[in-house]
Amino acid sequence: MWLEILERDHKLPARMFQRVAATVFGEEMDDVAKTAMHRPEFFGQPFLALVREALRAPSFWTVGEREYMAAVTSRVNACDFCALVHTETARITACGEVDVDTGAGRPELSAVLALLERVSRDDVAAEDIARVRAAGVPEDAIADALAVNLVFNIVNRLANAFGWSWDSDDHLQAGARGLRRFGYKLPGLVLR
Amino acid sequence: MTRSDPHAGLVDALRTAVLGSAGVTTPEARAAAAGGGAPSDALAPFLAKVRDPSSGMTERDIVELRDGGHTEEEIFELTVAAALGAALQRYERAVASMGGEG
Repeated sequence: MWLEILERDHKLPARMFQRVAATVFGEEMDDVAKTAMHRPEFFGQPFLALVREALRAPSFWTVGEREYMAAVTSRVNACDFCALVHTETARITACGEVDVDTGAGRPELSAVLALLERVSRDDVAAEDIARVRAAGVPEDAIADALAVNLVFNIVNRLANAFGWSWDSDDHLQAGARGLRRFGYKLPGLVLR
Repeated sequence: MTRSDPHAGLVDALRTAVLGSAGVTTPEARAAAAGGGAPSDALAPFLAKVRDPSSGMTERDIVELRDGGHTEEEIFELTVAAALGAALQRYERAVASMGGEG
């Protein structure tokens, strides 16, 4: 990372947690978690609360579909760091509802992905919402997809500005497995 | 049609933390970054790049700010504010297109 404070300036519980996690999982914690644990009251704590709601709370969309929305938004925003890990997370959380290599999924997903691309490009209009409604997507499902898109419109910019990166393919795959297993949860102690 | 945003509570909490918390920059500086501007001319090109995700940022962008006397905490706070502002602008436009309040 290009800011030393995000790499190293964490409180003692967060530093200890990083050491334990690196020992247990054999890889360093990812740059998102390190950034979230730096002054967590300013960004990490409220951000991760929104992330957990958007990507893991009960929804019309499966976890795999929402991870795929994350990957697609990240590609639109030219964020390789996020696109890579959320493509892999979608691959290992989806149960056939989306093909992450082709983008094939139910018509409702295809419709909302087109909407999210327009939103990320700051080019959305009422007609775009109408098309998604016409595809049979309920109102709360549109809102849930927009929340996923919001999360990644934020975090993609941070990844690109702070120089977030994966050390290796093993690091990337460990990151994807962590997102499947822990669902964006960090111990409360490291976010205080 | 009018609707309420089911995610408004957590979105507002994030906005309040980033733009209203105590920090090394003033809330006014962060509001400027979030609103598409910058608290100073020296920061304007960097924050414009933050807002444009395809701008191809490099470590050099950060180094130049540090060389210009900006601290890492200042860069951190203003970058988060600019990223949040750009994302919220898109989100609120989409929610408004649904017929809600944004």
